[in-house]
Amino acid sequence: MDNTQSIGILGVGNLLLADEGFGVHAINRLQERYIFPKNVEILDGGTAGIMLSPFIESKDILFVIDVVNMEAPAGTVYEFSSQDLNSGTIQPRMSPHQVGLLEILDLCQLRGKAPSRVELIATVPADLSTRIGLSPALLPVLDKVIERLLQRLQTFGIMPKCS
Amino acid sequence: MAQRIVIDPITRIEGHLRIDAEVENGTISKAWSSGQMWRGIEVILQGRDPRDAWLFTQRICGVCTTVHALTSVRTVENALNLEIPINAQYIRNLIMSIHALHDHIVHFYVLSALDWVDVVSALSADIKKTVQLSETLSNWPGNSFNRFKAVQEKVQAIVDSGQLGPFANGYWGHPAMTLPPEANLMAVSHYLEALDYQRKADKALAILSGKNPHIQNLSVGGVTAAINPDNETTLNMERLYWIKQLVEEVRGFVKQVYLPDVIAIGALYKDWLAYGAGVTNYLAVPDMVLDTKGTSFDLPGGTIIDGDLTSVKPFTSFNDPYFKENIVESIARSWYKGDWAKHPFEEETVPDYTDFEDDGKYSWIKAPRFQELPMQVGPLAQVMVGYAQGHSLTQQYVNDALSRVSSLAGTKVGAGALHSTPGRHLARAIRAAMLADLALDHWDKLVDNIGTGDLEIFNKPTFPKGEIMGFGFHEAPRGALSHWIVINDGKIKNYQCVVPSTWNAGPRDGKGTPGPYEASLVGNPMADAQLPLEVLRTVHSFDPCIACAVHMLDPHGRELTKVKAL
Repeated sequence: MDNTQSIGILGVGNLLLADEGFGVHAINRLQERYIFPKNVEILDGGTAGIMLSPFIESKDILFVIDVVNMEAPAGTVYEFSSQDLNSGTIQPRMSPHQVGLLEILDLCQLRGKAPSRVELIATVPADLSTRIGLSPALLPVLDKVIERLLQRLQTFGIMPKCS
Repeated sequence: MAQRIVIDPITRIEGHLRIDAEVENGTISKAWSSGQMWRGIEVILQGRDPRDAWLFTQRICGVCTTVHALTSVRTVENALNLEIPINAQYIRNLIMSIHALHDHIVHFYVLSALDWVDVVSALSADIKKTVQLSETLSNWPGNSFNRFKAVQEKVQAIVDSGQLGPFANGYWGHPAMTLPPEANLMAVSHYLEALDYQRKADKALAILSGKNPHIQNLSVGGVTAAINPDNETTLNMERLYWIKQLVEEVRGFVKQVYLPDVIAIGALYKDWLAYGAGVTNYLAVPDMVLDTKGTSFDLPGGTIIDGDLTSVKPFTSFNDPYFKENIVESIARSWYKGDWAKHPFEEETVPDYTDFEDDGKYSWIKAPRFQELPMQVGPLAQVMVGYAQGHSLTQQYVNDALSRVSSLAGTKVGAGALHSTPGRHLARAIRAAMLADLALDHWDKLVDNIGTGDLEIFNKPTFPKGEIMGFGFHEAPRGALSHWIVINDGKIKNYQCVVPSTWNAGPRDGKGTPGPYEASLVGNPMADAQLPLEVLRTVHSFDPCIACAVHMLDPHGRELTKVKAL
């Protein structure tokens, strides 16, 4: 595989709202456990919104870890490509905080600068109350999502070392 | 029949602005603005070291971060009567102006432009006519036949794919969308370019402040950005020129794209110049400080009452008693215990949630009042106060913008038209242009002062035994921000933040007088209550910034507007 491709792994979410911070917890665990080759960049995107666009536009392939709003048991893991997702119908925004990840991806697309491939790995949250830390339902899902991410990375020739 | 519209972004994440409006015969008759999250930072600060407060307060937000950091250090310095070195003042001025440039560009293009611009209409634009239209507005190199054609093709591809992407939340074909297709195409092209320029501002701020959002180079007593022209790890000439170059590029975009776009939208939507005035009492604080004490400023502040420019009364220093003594916050209609109106030094913050009561308490936001009056804050207030005081930079930009609006609209548009929904956008763009000019001026002042051999950036604070009080203010992108502190034996005893969106988005007070958002909505037209575009136009014109949140992925999009008949 082509090792010169620039690959991004982005975890997003709000750490203060329990499972909403899943993507950030996943990034932290990846950074604790693995060392990635130079062409892979890992980012805790937090709630940064539009400020994530430079990172996104600098990547050929982008993996995103997040939570997803689906009618399914907590901890169910879904995978999407960006084509599977629709950033919505009528969503009146009331503040610049409400620029969502899907909108940023679409904006990058329209600017002709989106990654050629975007894969989202997401799980259904159990608890969105105000506290730090994952719910018992999602704790075991962290490793499951990371394992899946590593499998996907492998198809692009990426094999991280354990740290 | 009256209808009630509720716009409440339900994201399964707390903390947003909720707007309720009653509509009768196509016009809004009553409105309520409600903050749906409690900001508890004041409680977190009690008992802490005042030198740390700025790092906590800037975490109030992920957009308006810098502003709380800056206001907090000014507040503690005010309590200590501590001057800061002039280099630190200039560096802070650069931080504040560059941050505001970033913020204003993002606000207009990312949050508000699509309230006025119909993206799908851009598909029927004639490219040659689009170039002609853009040439009447500016010489921006991005306004080319090839660029507009490429943008139109990209929009076509997106529409063909059925994925409207970032435009999916727009209201195409809404009867209130009346720009010609060519103006829509031009605006979409600029919308896509805006992302590059907000990044340049972002980068300049990060070079100067170590990190953005949440800058790291302030300190009570000055800044921690060490200056040494001979050291590559400090603020040196190479970095300063890098910052200057980025600011110059951003200034080009503001003057040749952002300001002309807002002028065109104001002119092409001239009917809207009659809507959205609301509260025409204005309050702005002076900023872009020119001395070590805070007694001389490049941007004026003050108050205007009832839209009467002759009533203007200035704030003249960081210690001005006219500002300090006339502010209270009312909680009569807010979810806090009691029904008092108290000065920020005297306030407590004890929550008392009751659910949404139209005639009782309905918001986490308090209602600030100046001499018992609600005040509108923000770029419009700043521009009005400057204009009324004869501030030459403000007058020059306002007069030029109004004459361009008039010639495009084919009718005389005077300063009175600024009291309106498009007026707030115009004032914001004017303020951005002024700040771009002033940022470069203050860059020169900083470099000239370094050239004299003065490298001072910090005066050490010393905290006395006993109780001291202080306040600090800053003209933030959303308007006048003030922090208030009581320090006892070197520890924080009380801390209050009176933020711009509190002034504007606050609820009614004890006398039932509505806040600026609420007042500005009354009388707005409403073509279709199911698609409340007009409410968004007016609320967005204030640049609301209520709380931090991120979207959870939602594969289907969500319905955020509830409409019910009364």
